[in-house]
Amino acid sequence: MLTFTEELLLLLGDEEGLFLPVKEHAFECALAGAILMDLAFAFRIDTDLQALVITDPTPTGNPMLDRVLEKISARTDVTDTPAWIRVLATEDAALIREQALDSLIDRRFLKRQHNRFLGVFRSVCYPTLDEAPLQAVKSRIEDVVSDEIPDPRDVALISLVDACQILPDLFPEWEAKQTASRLELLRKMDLIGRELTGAISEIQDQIIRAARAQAACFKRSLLTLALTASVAIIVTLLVPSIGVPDRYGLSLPAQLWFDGSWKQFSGYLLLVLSLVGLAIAIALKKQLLVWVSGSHRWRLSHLVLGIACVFTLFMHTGFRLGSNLNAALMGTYLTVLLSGALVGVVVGGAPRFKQISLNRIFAARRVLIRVHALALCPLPALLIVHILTAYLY
Amino acid sequence: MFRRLMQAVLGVTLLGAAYVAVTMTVAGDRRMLLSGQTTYAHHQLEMACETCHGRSIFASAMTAEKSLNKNCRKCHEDELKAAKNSHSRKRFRNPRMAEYWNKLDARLCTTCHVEHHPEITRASAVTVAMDFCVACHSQGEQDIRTTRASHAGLGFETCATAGCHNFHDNRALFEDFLLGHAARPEPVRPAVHVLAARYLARPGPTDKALERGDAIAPPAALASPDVLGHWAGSGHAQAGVNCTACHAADLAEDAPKAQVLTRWIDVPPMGVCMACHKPQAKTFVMGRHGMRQHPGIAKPRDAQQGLARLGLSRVMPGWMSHWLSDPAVPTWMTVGKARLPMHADADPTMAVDCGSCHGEHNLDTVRAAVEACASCHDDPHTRSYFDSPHHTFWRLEQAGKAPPGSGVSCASCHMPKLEHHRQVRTTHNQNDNLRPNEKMIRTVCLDCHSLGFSLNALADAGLIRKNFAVRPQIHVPSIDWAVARSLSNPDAAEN
Amino acid sequence: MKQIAVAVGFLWSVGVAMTTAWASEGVSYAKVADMLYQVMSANREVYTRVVVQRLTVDEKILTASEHFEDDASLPLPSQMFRFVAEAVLDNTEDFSYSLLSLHPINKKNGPATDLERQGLEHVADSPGESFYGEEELGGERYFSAVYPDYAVVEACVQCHNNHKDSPRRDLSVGEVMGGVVIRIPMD
Repeated sequence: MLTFTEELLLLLGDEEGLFLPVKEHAFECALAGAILMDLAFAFRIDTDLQALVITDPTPTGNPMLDRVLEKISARTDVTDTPAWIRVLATEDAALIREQALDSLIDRRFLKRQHNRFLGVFRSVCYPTLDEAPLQAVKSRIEDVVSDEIPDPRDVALISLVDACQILPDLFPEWEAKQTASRLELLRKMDLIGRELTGAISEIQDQIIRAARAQAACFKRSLLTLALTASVAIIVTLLVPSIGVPDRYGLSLPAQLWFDGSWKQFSGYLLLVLSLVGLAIAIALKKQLLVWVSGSHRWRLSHLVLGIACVFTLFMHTGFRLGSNLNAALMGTYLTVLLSGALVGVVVGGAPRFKQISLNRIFAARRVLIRVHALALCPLPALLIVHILTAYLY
Repeated sequence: MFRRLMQAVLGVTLLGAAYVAVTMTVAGDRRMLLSGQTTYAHHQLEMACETCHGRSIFASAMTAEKSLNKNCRKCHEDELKAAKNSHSRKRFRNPRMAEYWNKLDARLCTTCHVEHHPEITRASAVTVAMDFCVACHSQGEQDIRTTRASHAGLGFETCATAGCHNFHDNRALFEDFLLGHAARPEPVRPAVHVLAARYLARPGPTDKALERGDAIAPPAALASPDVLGHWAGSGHAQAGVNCTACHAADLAEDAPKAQVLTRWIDVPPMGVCMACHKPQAKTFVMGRHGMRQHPGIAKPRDAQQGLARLGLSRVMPGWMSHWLSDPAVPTWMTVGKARLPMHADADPTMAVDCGSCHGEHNLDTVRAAVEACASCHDDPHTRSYFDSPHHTFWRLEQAGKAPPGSGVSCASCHMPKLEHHRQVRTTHNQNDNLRPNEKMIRTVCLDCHSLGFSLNALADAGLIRKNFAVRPQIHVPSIDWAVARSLSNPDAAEN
Repeated sequence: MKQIAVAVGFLWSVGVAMTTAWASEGVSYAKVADMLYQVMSANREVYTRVVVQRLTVDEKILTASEHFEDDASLPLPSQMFRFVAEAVLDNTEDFSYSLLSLHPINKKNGPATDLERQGLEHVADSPGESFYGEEELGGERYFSAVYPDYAVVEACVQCHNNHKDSPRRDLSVGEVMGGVVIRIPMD
């Protein structure tokens, strides 16, 4: 029998062996929740509002579960379910995922395949070898949603999947409202043994809550960083260039902005930072970086790189906007940076713009991302000309 | 829709990049590559990059720097030599000066004069801070503050800005010159510019003089009484230069009249003037008015050759290679291209050629000396001239109430009479005397003023704006210091 | 004036071409420097005797003075020597030379490197001897030779003793006034 963790991983896999980007960053939390559900179904733990307690410390025989069980019994500082989901999501999710994947590979359901993207980015994907187990899991969920009387494990599975908010991705043909009311009904039915109901609903609750907290935290960081970037870019655009002192001798401004070697250093640093930023964006788009930690950290690091670019740009130019093609390069580059930062502001600030409809926010986000991508197109050509003229003339 | 837009942007970028690549490797206008405004008058030739940047693409940074400097010297070396350059390149090329190479490398023009950086370009196109003297003259034996008591408390920013020293040209500023002129009193009025007086007193070639009836020209040309009258009253007629000398210049002087009229050119090119007035033409192309004809300017790159170099001459159609030709430096500077303030009603397309100041036929040197300048230039200095004592003297001279050479026109100071091989000529490089303005002292000011007065006046920017209408408000102490030093220590050096 | 300078410069270049050609065939740096010095001192002597002495003292047509252009006079022999040295540097970096002194009228002609000071002191202290050494300047190695420069005639002494910028005023004829420094890059 598959564990919840394994079933969840099967469900998240797509045709290419990559994993669906789990909404609201619930992936680690869902993994943490899945393993707690596995333990609850194995009658090893129980939960209530105050604490998560071990009811039976005997090993289950599954090394993945036993390791977590051991950890729960060893740690006394973590007591309640939310805390445990947080701890497992941050400390153990990667290992849990690896162990579950190993187990699926051992059973020849999946295979591990190493790829290279553009010859540089290494990525691993897990194409399906055997469709049957996935179909079995999916049909179990379908059965639950149709009027069948579900098995307690099925109820637990669907609550887990629901917590991940991937039902619309798995079953696009389902009506969201109907599904929701059916799930609500199932939750009220006393289908699982009394000893499990509490645990499962508590775990599901906590998964959602933890995921939301993480999302809110992400959006807060996103907004802070994006606002920082926007302000820095607007300052770059509006503040007049910083002059150099009218004194002979080495001064930092004169060196930074008029010395060939410093200009080269800051220029190439800018190029490297931009390229890394671009690489992260491509990797995100191609889902090379979603893994366990989720994409949000990479999205944040994309933004951090953007901010680093603005500061390096200051180092390179001292707020000088240049003339002719250099001005065009500066304009294009700042457009890329500003549109990117504004995407961050829109996405990160979405929960705060209550009076604006979500549709509008999404539209703004789409337009900004397009501007971001469009402004990127002429950049390599302008940059090459900029570098060439620096050396040729 | 978005995909289309993206493709369009990419397409435009690729086209643009291809065009830039072609302009860089084959030919075409490259002014969009300029990283900043070109300094001073250099903007007149900024379309001809190779004038300054003339080296192979793969040269090392040092070779590039050297080549750049070689091209600076191509146009500016003569004037530096004439200025007795106090910090000459050859002096600093001596390896014993190696210590100074790291401080302020005087072997390279580009140490202090970097192009395309308008933001840090100071007076005289200097791009290092104006206290640059501190680099070498603040230590050891060179520390002027310790070796000259008078200089003890001075800031280095004043060396080159107070009217005492220049980096290159100190011909009117060195100590012995100051001492030699210290005791000379202000000349008695009306003073006369010696060379101008000599020039005006030169005998004219009267035996060859022509009159209205001698003019050889087509009837249509002769029908204009203005033109004929202007010519008949001009120096050309007095010197026996007939219409044909310019309008049919390629014919022998004694060619039959009929032949002359068939070869008639209505508007002769300026080369015709230059062929006879060589010294004037030579100096004309050194100044901002005529520099677009300086022989040092790079010729436009040949598109066909550029294509052939890339092995493309066969694939590129003729019209395309024509379209890709380098923009040539226009022959003339025009009023509209000037960066100095010009009269709003001056025709922006008017070119600065011989005729624009002298007139085509009357060759009026009096108009050329004042009115011609003021017809385009419109700045406080020019406007104030007409209320200045200099202009009063000029009017008196023109009215015959003052001796020849006593008047001061624009040309008196900016295009002075100079003596070369015992011949007096008007220099047509109207900028030479201003780089730096102390250059004017020897060639102009001292004829009518004492050295002290001249130094004070030229150091007083406000006074220059007022065109010397009042007395200088600044006192340059250099003569006092030189005198004090020679008196305090008549037979021993201060150090 | 210029013609003379050009002519002297030309003679120099011929001398240089010959001496550097010898140097490449294995003549020692010291020998090359000695030969260059011979050309220099002969030229200087000829200018002093045939031009300056003849025109100013014998025929009394002209004078020689420091500000020869303003005074329409002849350049002093030491000025002539320096003009040619600078003219050589306009054309080549294969060698360079200068006329220096421990007590120069113009400070820029004082010793600028340790070796120059050492050499000038040596030729001042041991008359008749020249000084040879190697030094590194601007990242390159040079062979440097210093030859004594004597006050040959009264005019030299008088000018140096009376010039307002002269730090030493007790020179006498026959005394070492300074030295000629010749430098040859060693690569």
